[in-house]
Amino acid sequence: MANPAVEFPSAQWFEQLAARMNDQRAKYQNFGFVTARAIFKINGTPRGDRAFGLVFDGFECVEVRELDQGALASFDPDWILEGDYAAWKEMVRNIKAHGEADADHTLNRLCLLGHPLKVHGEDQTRVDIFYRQLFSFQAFIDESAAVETTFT
Amino acid sequence: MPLPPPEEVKAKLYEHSEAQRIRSGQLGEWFTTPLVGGEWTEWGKRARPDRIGMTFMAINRVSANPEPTNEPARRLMHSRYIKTHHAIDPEMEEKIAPKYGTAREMDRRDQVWIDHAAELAEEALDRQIRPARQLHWEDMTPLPDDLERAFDQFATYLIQALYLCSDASGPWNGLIHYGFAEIKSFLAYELFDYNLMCGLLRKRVMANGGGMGVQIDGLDAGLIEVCNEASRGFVGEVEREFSSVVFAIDVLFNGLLLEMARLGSAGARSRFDRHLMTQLVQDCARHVAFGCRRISFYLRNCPDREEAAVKLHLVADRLEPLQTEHHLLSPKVLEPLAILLGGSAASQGMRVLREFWPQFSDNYLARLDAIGLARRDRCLIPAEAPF
Repeated sequence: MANPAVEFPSAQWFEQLAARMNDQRAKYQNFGFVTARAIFKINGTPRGDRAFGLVFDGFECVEVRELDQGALASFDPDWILEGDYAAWKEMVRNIKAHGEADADHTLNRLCLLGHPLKVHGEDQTRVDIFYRQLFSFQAFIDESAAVETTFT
Repeated sequence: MPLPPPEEVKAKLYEHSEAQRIRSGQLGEWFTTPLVGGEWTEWGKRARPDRIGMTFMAINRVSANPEPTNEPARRLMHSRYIKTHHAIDPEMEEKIAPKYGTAREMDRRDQVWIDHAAELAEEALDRQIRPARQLHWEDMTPLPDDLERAFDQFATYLIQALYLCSDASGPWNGLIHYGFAEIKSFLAYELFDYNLMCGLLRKRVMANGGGMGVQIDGLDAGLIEVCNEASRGFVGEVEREFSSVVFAIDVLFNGLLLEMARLGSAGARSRFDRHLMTQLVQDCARHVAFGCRRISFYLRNCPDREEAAVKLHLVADRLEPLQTEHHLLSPKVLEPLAILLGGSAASQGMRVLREFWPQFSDNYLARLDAIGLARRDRCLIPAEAPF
């Protein structure tokens, strides 16, 4: 039976991605292990700016939690992936429609010019983890193709 | 001196003490020395796989020496892993393994080591691609001639750039002491990355209706000269500047290649080509990570930080303008990228490149800030596109 629809953005939505990642160890082993503390930041949602801290370790996403705006630094992220709600929504819809991001909606493409998404952080050598482990992060976000998503 | 006759050599070997011992059926000292307190190094180790598998981190967890020390390495195999034989005196050790021309040349932590070396070496191995098996070559998508030509030229440039890195870095691994096993492994994997990707790109170019493109003269843009000066041609009993090579190849050149790979991935017109370019993004980013950790460790631990920083700045002063002129501004690099990014419309792609350009220096300078080699006031890569 399909999982009930979950709202984007929400901790539940990211938890569903994490659950799918953690259920597919062999797939993620093929990409290589991941070690990252990441923040996904969605600006301008109907409920304001939202941020979610995720911890990746080994072949799993081991932690998902929503962060208050004041708690971003204390989460100590390696990288922050940030953009407007509209851009995120378009990406999630594109992934749903194609089963994975098409050429114009990969994380790399969307971040290339710093808009509509931007990857950044305090320390560029930690931001580079995003590029070092890009296959895994793209596969993680592509898991949303299997998640019934509603938008606020 | 004339060689002795073969019969004399054979007779001498027959009477050799080791030959006599083997004939007697006795096992050697390696088997008879006590497991504890003798020549044997250590016993009873039971490393267990960690969350990733049986990694360097897992064996270091049970090792008596999880990190190499700064004790001078007296023999090649004397490392944090293996004991020296008590009966071999320093004079004999020097004869067995002379300092220069061997893996004893670089035996100090400040010359070689990085933070979290084990993790980065494992990541390098874990994220390597197996082109013949892992890629779905049957899924390659035919491209219009102009896009295929652009991709092939971009791939030809990358092959040239990656071979350059491989050739410049390769000889150094033999000078690094075995005590730094993780570093030796990482550098070997880095060479493997370059050569795997060169082979992969060439296969791709030869398999989709196109062919190899045009060579770029002078692409090294000062790199070979810097590397030759740093190695002193690998001749003589002299100190060599591994850090200059790491800075040039891993921090600067791979940093630029990383940005090129990101652009290539964004411009890839097929899923297959995007996969190749994403692999290159990961590879280059990992090499940059090694370079940054190496330079950071070096600056924090070398005998004279100020002098070390001056030398590295001078390398950057030389390379930045040359790399901009002969690499970043090469029409054989930019134009195929522009065609790929613009979907055949080069002018549109050029606008993307113009907007992207500041990241060449921004990301490079941000890395240098992070590793303690700030040069925002003297960087010679233009902050804005000069076109």
